[in-house]
Amino acid sequence: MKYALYLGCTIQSDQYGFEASVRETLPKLDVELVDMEDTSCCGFPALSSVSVTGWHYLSARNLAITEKMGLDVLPLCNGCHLSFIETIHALEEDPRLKEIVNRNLEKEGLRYEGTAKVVHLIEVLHDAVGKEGISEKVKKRLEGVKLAAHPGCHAIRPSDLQKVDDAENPQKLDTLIKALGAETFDYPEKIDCCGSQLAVSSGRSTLRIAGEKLQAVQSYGFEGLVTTCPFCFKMYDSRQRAIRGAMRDRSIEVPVFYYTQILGLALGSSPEKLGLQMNQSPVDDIVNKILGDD
Amino acid sequence: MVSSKELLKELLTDEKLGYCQSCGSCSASCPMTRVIPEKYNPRTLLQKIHLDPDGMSEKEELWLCAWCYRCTERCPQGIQPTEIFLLTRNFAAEKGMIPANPRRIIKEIMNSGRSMPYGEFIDELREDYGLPPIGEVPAKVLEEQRKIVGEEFLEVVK
Ligand code: SF4
Ligand code: SF4
Repeated sequence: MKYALYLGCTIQSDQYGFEASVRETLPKLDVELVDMEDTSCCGFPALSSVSVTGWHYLSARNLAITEKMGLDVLPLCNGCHLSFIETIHALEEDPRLKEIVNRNLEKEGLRYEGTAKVVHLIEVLHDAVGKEGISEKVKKRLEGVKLAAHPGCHAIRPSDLQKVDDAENPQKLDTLIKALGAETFDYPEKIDCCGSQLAVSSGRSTLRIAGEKLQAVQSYGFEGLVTTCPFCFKMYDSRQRAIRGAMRDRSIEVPVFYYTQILGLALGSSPEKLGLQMNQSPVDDIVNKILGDD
Repeated sequence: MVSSKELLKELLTDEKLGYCQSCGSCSASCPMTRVIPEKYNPRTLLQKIHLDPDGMSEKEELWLCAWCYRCTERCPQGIQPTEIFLLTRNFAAEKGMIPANPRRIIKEIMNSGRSMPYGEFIDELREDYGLPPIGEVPAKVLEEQRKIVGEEFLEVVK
């Protein structure tokens, strides 16, 4: 298994913990990651809001780079993933748009044909490596830890364009959590939106969207929330203090993890290598519980 | 250039939006409606866009969709509210009406090739976490990109 790694703006400039934990864990599962050169923003959702054509050009530009590398691409961010999927679909449907895009890509010696496949981290882990592939490498089982799965909107919807997992009843992230020996179960708010796309412009409303979910997660007895999306993570982890304020609820205390961080702990990596010192939610107790006495 | 007005017109035709049965599944699934029902409701927003796409260009509610695709997923009539809102925004943007926040991010993308500002400190931080440097997006790439997105697609944020 070998993929071109597309980091995207948010991860490479802000979410070092996610990137570090991905680079630490995937090679241990025999997934080879190849860095891409001269990538740029995928254009979603800011540019897409004002120019659909400009967005598809930027998105296709990154896809053209992976085509040149002859590899399928793994965009780590849910937003970039959906952006690429949407662009592939749009350029397939509209040859005129594809021509406009290619006319511009040619100026830097690139061409978009649509030959590179776009894969999601959940697909790589669940469909390619597989739960057995993961559990057989687990050194430290996460026994007795209850974690809630949050796949995030852009990994599962819209279902007519992508099939990473079922749009109304996603189970793959749950399976991946269980592969580490941890416990998880379905809860009504599992596929609820985190609100992050509007976090900057409509702060108060989105803090409430995220807050209601964190309250629910806590009330079901989960000890943490697990995601693979940098936007969802930032919302629940980095803005958790602000959420407490907006909800006027000081009791909200939910440790938030990237899946690859708990995967790494289970595979025997140190918390530092997984960037766990960057998490702003209270993760220490769970990390210590997982690490045990050694 | 492909105009958003053309695309929007197609989505708003009676064969598409005309089949909206006002069931409200979209609004019932909407996280924004849950927290600000007095300000945001995709079902009524769709009706307003259908009646007067031009008049919606300067309305704040056009920019309140959180992009979760719940409505699109659940609409029994296959109407794609998320897509319609996207194109209505594009339509507003073509007339120069872009709220401050997306405008700021787009300027950043045009200037640095990324939606988050790049500075050397980023590579220093990355080094601390054992991550390879990302460096600046090469000037030549940026120049090309600025020309293409700015001149060809995006008059208004040049
Ligand atoms: S869910 Fe579809 S049919 Fe029902 S009100 Fe919304 S757009 Fe109309
Ligand atoms: S995509 Fe937008 S309008 Fe539709 S449910 Fe989500 S936030 Fe509401």
